[in-house]
Amino acid sequence: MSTVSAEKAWDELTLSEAEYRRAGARYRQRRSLRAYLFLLPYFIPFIAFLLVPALWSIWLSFNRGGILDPAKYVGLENWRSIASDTELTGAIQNTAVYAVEAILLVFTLAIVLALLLNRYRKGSNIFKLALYVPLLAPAVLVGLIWQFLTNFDFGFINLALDAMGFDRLNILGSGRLALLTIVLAEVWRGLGFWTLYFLASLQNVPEELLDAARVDGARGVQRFRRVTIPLLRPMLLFAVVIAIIANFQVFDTVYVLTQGGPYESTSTMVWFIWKRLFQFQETGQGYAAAVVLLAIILALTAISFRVLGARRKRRA
Amino acid sequence: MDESVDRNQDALPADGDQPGESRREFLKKAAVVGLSLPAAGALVSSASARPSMLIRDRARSRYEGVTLQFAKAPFGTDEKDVIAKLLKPFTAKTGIKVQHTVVPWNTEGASYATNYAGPHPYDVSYQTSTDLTGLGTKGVLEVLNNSKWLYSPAYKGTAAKFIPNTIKKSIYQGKLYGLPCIIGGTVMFYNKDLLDKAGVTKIPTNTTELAAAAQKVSSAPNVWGFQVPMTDKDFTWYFHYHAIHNLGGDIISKDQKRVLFNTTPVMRATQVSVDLILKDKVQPPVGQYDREAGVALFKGGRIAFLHDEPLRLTVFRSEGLPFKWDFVNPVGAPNGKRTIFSTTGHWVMASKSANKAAAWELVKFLSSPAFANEFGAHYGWAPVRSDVNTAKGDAQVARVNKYVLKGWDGLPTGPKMAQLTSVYGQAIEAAATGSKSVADAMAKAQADGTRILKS
Repeated sequence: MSTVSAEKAWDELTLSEAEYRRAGARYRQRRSLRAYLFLLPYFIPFIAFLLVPALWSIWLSFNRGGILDPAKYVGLENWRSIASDTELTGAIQNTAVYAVEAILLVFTLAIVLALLLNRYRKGSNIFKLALYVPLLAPAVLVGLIWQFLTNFDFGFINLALDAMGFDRLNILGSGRLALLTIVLAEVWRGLGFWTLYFLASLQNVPEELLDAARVDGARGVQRFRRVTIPLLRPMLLFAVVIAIIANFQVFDTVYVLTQGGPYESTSTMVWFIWKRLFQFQETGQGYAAAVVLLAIILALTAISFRVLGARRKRRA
Repeated sequence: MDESVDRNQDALPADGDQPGESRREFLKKAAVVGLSLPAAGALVSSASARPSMLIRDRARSRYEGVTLQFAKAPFGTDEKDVIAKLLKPFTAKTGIKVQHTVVPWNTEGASYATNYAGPHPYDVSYQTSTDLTGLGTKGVLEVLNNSKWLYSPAYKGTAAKFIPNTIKKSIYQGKLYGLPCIIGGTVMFYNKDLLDKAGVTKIPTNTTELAAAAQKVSSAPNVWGFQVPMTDKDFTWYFHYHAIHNLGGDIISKDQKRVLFNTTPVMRATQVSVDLILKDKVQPPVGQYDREAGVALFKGGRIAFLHDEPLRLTVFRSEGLPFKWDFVNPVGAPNGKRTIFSTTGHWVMASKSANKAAAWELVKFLSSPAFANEFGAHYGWAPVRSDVNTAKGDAQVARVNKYVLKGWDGLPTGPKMAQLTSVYGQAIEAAATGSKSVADAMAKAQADGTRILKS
């Protein structure tokens, strides 16, 4: 082929700038469409079972009825009602106390156990299994186990106190102790999961960095503080977000162990919502409280992501 | 004889209700009866057997293949078996099969709400006066006090047998959403051996005497003088409501427009209960034992007086408690009344039921002596109809009935009653745990109750 004819052919193939942009846009569109098609199996249930019910709940929070009888618009009546309901403020407070205590305790214990399992690997599978088993136990069983532990007459805790010469405790009859029991039951249940999570994270910490720190003369605690913790931070913050979402929705253990008592001291937000929605058929108030819970979780999640984002930016 | 007539009337559709049979079906049945009669003639001496056979066949042909969904929170662990046994004649006569779902007490509100929201709700269920009107006013229950059901020509005679107050207390704004079936009542069991040992010779009749007797017996934490459910989850309000009535008060005004939690009778009655725990220390602290644990303590000989429902009678008798025991009606107020409180139980029909006629047959049967005599006797409930006799020669149940029917003062039904009684229960719990004084607890209950009535 002569040079002239080759150039001519090349000219014919070359697109103008506008044509090139259009072709690029078409290509991106095709590619995005394909990606969206792949996402469709997720988006359909997301829209059907999450987005629509969430929006529907917001709408119903301005209505009376909606489950057993037709919804009737009542404006801000439900919102005014829950705003003056001291049980809701108490429930928010209880949930916050519970979440902070449960998250701090479970994370501390899980990190310690993960460090031990990471260091002493011989026979660690048995410990991993033993730690994970409570997570498989249904809430009813967890409740029963903790009822047996806390029983006044034959509970293990009171028998131990008795043997040590202390007075027995009316554990589920004291507001503070009852909430603490729920915290401990949930920590016991979640410990295995978080231990394995942190163990996996620890195993991703590059050995070379730890070796380098060791060569530089850093001791165990220093290596943990200066190398391990900073490298774990993204995983830790992700775990905090997940834990906040899960712990603000605590319900089953409350239901089985205390049913919100004694005197509302273990009444949590989901317990409050459940009672309003189903026990009393005050659906509007239940939905309004559910929207409050959604807002709290979204706000806390946003704060966590902001913190996580800031760290990432600094690292970048 | 009278009883069997009533039983037949209730158990089977009245003649007037029968749908017309086709000529062909009638001739077929007549031929069958005609052919079988000579052969059966030697065995059947009375021609009176024929009408009942016909009625049975008619009822069967009308409802053959119908299965009703039936739900109830149980009075005991054996209830499903008891009901299945008692329903056998109903199914045999009508052909209606009944599928029974046990709904746990503490989740009944949630279970019924979700079920009635669906397209195929329980055709027939059991509702107490607290939940009855809440569901009824939302349109999910059939209104029964009309000429189609309760006052239908075929049922009018039976309707007149209901104790008027049970119907009256179950009506809200002119509508009756369920047919009363039992009056629960509460009783006070006592351990005779413990009382003898402590030198208590007179069974207390009022709260002052109860406190004194309980103090004599109590040697906490091994033996407690008294036990009654004190938490909202154990329906504490149910066991305290009569004490307010004994002092001439109530938790709600007659027109149901005002709550009366901060009135003297409510506060005085609550204070008496709270004092038994916090001042006299004759009752275990709140949370130490729940209702079932309290009953277990009584069975173990560690409670002198137990305030509970008469349904424990069957259990105590069948288990054979290792001490002498008996029961009386709950104590009254000093210089006041001695009433018995209970909610009434009701059989209800779903307004969305696809088989309303069959559901009505079941409701009628459940209310009839054929079912209610034995069911009431088994759980110690007092009857709501003059032709129902739950005692059947049982002296203890006869006493329960006597107490209840003489001193019963029922809770009026209303759409917010479940919430209001829970508010009252929470207030009792707050005061009994020492979290609030009785006055503060009732002031909060008053504010909460007022808000609930307005919403």
